[in-house]
Amino acid sequence: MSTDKKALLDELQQAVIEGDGEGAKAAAQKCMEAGIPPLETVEFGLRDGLKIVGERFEKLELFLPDMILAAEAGNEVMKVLEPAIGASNMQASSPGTVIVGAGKGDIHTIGKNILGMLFKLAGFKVHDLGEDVSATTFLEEARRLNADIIAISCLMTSTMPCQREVIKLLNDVHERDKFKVMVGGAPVTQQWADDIGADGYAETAGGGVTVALKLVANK
Amino acid sequence: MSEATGFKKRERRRQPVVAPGLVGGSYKPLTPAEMERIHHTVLDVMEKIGFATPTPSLIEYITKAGGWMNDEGRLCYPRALVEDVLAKALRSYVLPGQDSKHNMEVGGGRVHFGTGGAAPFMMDFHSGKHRPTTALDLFDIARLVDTLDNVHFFWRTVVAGDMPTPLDLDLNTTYACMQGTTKHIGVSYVDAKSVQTAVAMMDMSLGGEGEFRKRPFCSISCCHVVSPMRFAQDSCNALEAAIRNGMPASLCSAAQSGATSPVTLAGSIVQSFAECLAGLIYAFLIDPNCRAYLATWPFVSDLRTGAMSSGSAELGLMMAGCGQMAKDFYDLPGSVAAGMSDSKIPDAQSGSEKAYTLTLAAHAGSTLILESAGMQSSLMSTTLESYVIDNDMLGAVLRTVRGIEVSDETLAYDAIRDVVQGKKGHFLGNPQTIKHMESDYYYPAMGDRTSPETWEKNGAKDIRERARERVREILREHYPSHISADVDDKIRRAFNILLPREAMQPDNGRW
Repeated sequence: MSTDKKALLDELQQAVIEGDGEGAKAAAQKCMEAGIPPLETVEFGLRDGLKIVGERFEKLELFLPDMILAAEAGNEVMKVLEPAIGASNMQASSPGTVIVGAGKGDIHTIGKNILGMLFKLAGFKVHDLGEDVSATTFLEEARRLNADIIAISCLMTSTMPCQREVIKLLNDVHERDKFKVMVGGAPVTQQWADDIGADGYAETAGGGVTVALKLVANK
Repeated sequence: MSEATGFKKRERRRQPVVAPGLVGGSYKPLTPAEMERIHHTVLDVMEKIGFATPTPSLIEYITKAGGWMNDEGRLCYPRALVEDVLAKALRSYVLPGQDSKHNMEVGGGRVHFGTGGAAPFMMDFHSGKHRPTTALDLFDIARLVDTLDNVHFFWRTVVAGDMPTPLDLDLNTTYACMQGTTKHIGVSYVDAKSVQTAVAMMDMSLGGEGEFRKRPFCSISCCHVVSPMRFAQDSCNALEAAIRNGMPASLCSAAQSGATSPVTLAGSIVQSFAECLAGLIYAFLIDPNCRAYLATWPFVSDLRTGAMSSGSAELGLMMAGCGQMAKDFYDLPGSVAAGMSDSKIPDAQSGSEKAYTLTLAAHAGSTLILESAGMQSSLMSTTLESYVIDNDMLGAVLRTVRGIEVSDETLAYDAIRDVVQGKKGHFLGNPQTIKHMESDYYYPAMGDRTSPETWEKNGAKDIRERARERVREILREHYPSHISADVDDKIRRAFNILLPREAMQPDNGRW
């Protein structure tokens, strides 16, 4: 990689790490103008930047709001690059399609939104079904989008049974093998995930991405 | 001291050192001008920003009273309406227990401690491992708390995770609480039907239809809003049903500062009051004599991770600020949450987090302090030992609320003179010492005050081990019987009670 190119990608990376949306957007434009293939910009500018953010978050050096800002900066970068990626007919390699939603009866969406954002930045195609989503809707949307993963968020113990219902429904219609099911939310535990037969669980949104990547790799 | 030894019989005060309803309020984190500014911002928020997703009933009540839906579909409360309800709402009332000795007169800075909820897990007493909680756990915790003098009311502290449907959950939660303790209880209800079914059961336990209205010993723990500034529709419908049935209502806003409310402490207090007042005004318009109280619970997010922190200094401060606002500015009954720990076990972290948050909340004069016993892991779990340990702490905190009484007698000039001029050189046998030694000093039941030598001789036990022994004793022996077997039969015939009766009686093999 040439020094100029590396400097530009570093600039982008740094802006993402600092959560500087404007700076990231400008840096992405500079990368485009310098003729760096957009997929390379995504790979070495954006994703590497987010990876560093994730690592520093784990070490408590960066705070959750820092991570949110970095993700938002990432979205700005994608807005610049996506048209070029589309026009060039290049396929950004995507690990898969995820549908996310807050389970039936649950209207708490912040955790789910953060998860969706991080999935997206990890390259997943994300479809957010919103809140208070019934088991049937999860199934229908998963079929329609040919999803790899169904991710169900529940903040309340009273709505957690909805996660079990989705899995039960998938079993009932003999489509359990078609989709990986991930569960999360404050009261959800690995034990619960195991009990209801979910494929994946993580305590944090960042952890959720790691689990999702493993799930699609093993699919 | 008997007459036979030649001493006069001394006066010895036997009244309890502490009692429910001691008046707090000496700690004032906010100045009057600051409270005024908070209030005006609350009014602005309610009038100009408004609340999303109101129910049809809410829209009807509030718009009839002068409110409106704004262009963004948010329900706005005009300041005149807010001020009007603030002026007319009940300032003080009784939250009764099934046993009237546990009635609480709330409001006026009279401090009461109780539990709160709800943890989905507990550290199993026998295995020491965390596991999901059940209806039977709830019953055991209720009867444990029934024996603890400084825990004045019982909110269901754990989720009965073994109940198959939401209605079974609400009904059996109510049942486990009312069977386990005669103190005032608090339960959350998913919808109006749940409320009506539970009221019918409580009517039956009290002797017939309409009896619950006369002795409403159960509050609905209602989270009518999801922060920021959005109504939870099912809960609003449950709230309306509760008010119509004469059920006291805790109107709870439990935002997390930095995530679902502002990061600034003052801003979180503003949003809390706006959200709670939105519920109070609704309840008041349904029934002006409702016993609905503000439950301003601004929680704290650890912004490094987004995890909830329940044992932070900031939480203690905000709860105290809310307690002060409710008492000094609004003069309305209100609850706050304090005495929780982020630690998984009742260790040093737990003790300090609980003690400083509780002390601040109590000294601000919060009239109902929930979550004050038993709660660990940022409200995700509980341990039985914690209740017994926390009961000691609550007694000590109440003693500090009682304060220092200053009078001619307590200034003790005579006692000093008598001892100094006399021959003994100490106060131990002084009549004043005898008189006050039991009424003025709080003696911990679990706290250890022995010498290191004695402590080692006694097995070098820390407080958790001593508390374990006490928990086992209580749970082996204390099976409340205030609901007769006949009435219980009737209840079991009429409602889907899923707690086996034999498991609720002595010699059930658990203890």
